[in-house]
Amino acid sequence: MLGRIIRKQFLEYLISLRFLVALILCLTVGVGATIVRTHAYGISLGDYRVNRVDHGREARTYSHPFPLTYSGVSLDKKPTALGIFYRGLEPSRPMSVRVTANRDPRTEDQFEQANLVADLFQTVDLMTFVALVMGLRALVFSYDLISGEKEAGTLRLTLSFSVPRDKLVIGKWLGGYLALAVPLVFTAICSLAVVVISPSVSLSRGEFVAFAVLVLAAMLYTGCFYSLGLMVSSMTTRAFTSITALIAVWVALTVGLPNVSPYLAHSLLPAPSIQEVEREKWAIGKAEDDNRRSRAREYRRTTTDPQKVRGAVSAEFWRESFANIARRQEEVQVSYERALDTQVSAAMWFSRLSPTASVIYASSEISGTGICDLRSFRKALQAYRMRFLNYCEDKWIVRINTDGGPISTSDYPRFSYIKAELGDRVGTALLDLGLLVVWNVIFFVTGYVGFLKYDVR
Amino acid sequence: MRLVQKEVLLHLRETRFFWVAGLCCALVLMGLVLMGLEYQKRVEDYQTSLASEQRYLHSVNENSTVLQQVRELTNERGIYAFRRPQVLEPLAGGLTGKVPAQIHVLDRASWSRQANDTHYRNPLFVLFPRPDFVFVVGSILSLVALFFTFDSVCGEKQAGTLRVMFSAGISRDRVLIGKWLGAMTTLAVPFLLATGLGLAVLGVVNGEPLTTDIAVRLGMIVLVSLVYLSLFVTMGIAISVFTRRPSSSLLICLAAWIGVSILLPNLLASLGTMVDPIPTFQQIRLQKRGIDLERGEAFARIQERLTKGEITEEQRLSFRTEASEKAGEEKTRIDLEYRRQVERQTGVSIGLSRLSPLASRTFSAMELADTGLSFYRNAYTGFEQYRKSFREYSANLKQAAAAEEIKSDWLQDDKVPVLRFHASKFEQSLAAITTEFMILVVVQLVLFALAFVRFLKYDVR
Repeated sequence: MLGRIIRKQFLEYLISLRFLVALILCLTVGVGATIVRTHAYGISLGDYRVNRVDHGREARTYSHPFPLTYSGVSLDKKPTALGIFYRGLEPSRPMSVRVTANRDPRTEDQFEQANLVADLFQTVDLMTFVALVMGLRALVFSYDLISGEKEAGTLRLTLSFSVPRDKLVIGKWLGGYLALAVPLVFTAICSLAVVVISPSVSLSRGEFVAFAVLVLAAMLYTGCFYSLGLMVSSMTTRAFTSITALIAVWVALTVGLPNVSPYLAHSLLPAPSIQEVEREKWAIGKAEDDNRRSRAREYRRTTTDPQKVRGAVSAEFWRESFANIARRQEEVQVSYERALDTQVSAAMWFSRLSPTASVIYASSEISGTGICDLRSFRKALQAYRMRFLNYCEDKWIVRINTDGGPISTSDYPRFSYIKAELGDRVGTALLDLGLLVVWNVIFFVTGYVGFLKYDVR
Repeated sequence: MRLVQKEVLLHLRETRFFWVAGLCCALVLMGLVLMGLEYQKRVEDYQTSLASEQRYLHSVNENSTVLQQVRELTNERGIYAFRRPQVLEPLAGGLTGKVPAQIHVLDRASWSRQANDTHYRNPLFVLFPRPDFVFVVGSILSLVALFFTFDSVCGEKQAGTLRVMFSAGISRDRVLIGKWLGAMTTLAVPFLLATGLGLAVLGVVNGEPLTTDIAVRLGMIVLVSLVYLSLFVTMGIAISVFTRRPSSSLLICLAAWIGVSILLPNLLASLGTMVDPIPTFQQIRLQKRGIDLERGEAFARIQERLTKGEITEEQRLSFRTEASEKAGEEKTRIDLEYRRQVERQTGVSIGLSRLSPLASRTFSAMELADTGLSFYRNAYTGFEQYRKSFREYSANLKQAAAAEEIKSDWLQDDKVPVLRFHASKFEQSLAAITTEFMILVVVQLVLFALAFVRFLKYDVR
């Protein structure tokens, strides 16, 4: 009997206008967005390669330690392939970071002349489409699941054939969900096909698995809203009341709560401002520089070392000074990030009352475009800064030892940033995936209980 | 009039009115208050930073000579300049997040302390859109407006009341206009109340004086928002006229909303970058760095010739100046060409995105709040101007200090360059939004005309 109910519900949706609209929307928008994003990724990857070669060439042309130390080298962050499906914190243009021995690594895209309209209206990607549209679509599928049938009188008729209510509600849920999942899975497959046939993208096996996890997250999310629709439908007597309440809930859960949370946390748990932290950092820079100068003066006053040794000692003073600046400035940055993390965590926990926030957090972590990736990239940059400043000081010593001759920077330290393994990324996203399951269960069970007591007359 | 009254009363009696009024009030109010608090914090940061920089500027080493003090300021410490938050930022954040909160100017660029905004940004601000007034109206209240009218005609047809109305001899044009006015009144009243209350709270939170310019800009932002919402009311009625059942109408309304509010502006703006590609700024920077390197090599060659006795000191200086000027001209040419390309691509993106009313409405609100493209361009020019003023100030100071023309009181507050942005005048903002406003009105008229023609032939049975 359960099979029959599922089949009936599935076929009912299949021939309905809403299924057709959903299918057209999914295919045109979901796949269309993936085509645009794949194209943008191709351009980004091309730019990244050009930038990387040019920056490498630039780094190898230094023949004096001075410009090497103070102009530094540019590092490039490879665009993330899975960013096609969820962009998250991925920058809109290829990201380059300038690393010098004397200051914080600095992204080069700051306040450049750029087409800001493209930043203002960012391309929708597959998972943003899921987060914004699929939830609404699920509600449109389920708002009249119970109340609609009651209004039409078919529910009374069905139950008069002694169909158990539990089987009926489970069958309706499964049949409807199947009809909802078909366009989603089909869109996901088509989107993946677009990416696979694109010559500019090559996905690894891990990325295929990550994509599967993304689709799973999308299915869980859609299930959440579908169950929510069932729950509200089983608590209302008219389909119109049901959709009115559901749209209000959708607005609150999808565009209200997640967007408001960061600003609420920002007001309640303020972090120091950029100006305060910068002041602190540069006070450190000044103090360390004064310290180096006084040590160097003292050394010059008392030393009897030959000229070459003096130069090497001076280079060591600089090395130590730069290392201290880097270390102490990093401490300030870490302390700032701790305050910011408190704010971010509070906002995340609050926003997790909405399944939309959970699916966004899960997607960004699985795609490698989330908060964890941003943090580990910054740590990698800091580690590179220490390597680089040591390299610069070594080059000063080389120059002294070669009596002021030119230096070669062909051996400059290469930067490589490896993203976290898929297992770790999924591990980070597990909490949000779990929450999606919990929401599914809560909404379904409430709807189920509501239907058991439902007055079908 | 009676028809309008009937429509208003009908809406008022429905549950959805309370949902809508509640949503309007809650979202508009919450958005304005939160954005107001954020603005207040930024203004505080700005004021603290100004005061702190002022103190720091005067903390010169009194044991040094004047020339040393000047060099310390211009070569080592430099000056921080801070950007004051825009007064109407809480309503339309626009592009303010793209402009740095502070810049650092120094003669030795390699020691510049320009802060890296990326390392300070709350990542959640990137993941989720800013819930300001523009966002709430553009993305949420537009849906609410559609929800108000999706069953205005087909719903009455299904209930049979439309037939009754026509049998009473009421003309079709009056019915349609009455429905539009009724829905607009029911929507506009809670919207205006919530906005008024929100702006009052915002005024109290921020404590900014309400000048005539700000009041007019506020009024225009609200007016454009109302026109935008009325567009969705018209769209809802049009869809309702073209469908027979409310459930179909609802479905199409939702699809239309998704298309207009989410998909069109985002896809079309990106399409602009695909249609008219330009080089990345890294490539432009590298070109300029290449010119700097060439200049460095030219300097080295000149120095070598001087050492060999091939040229005199005077000739060396003249050759150096010539090489510097040539490099400067070449870099300026690259910059100008790149700006021209960026402007062209931006124009293409704007043109394409105008196909969506949301984009037109966002551009208008940003221009009126002075946080849009004009603001960004003015900020860019303001920062460039500031750097130039600092270079001149620094050169004059150094020259005067070297010639011992200044004494220990050389640091005069009124002589220190000040960062000033050219604020867009209201007339300029108005001119900038004319096209957008016209688009909103024309699209609305077209939709209404379509609905009207269709309604004249509508089968009410």
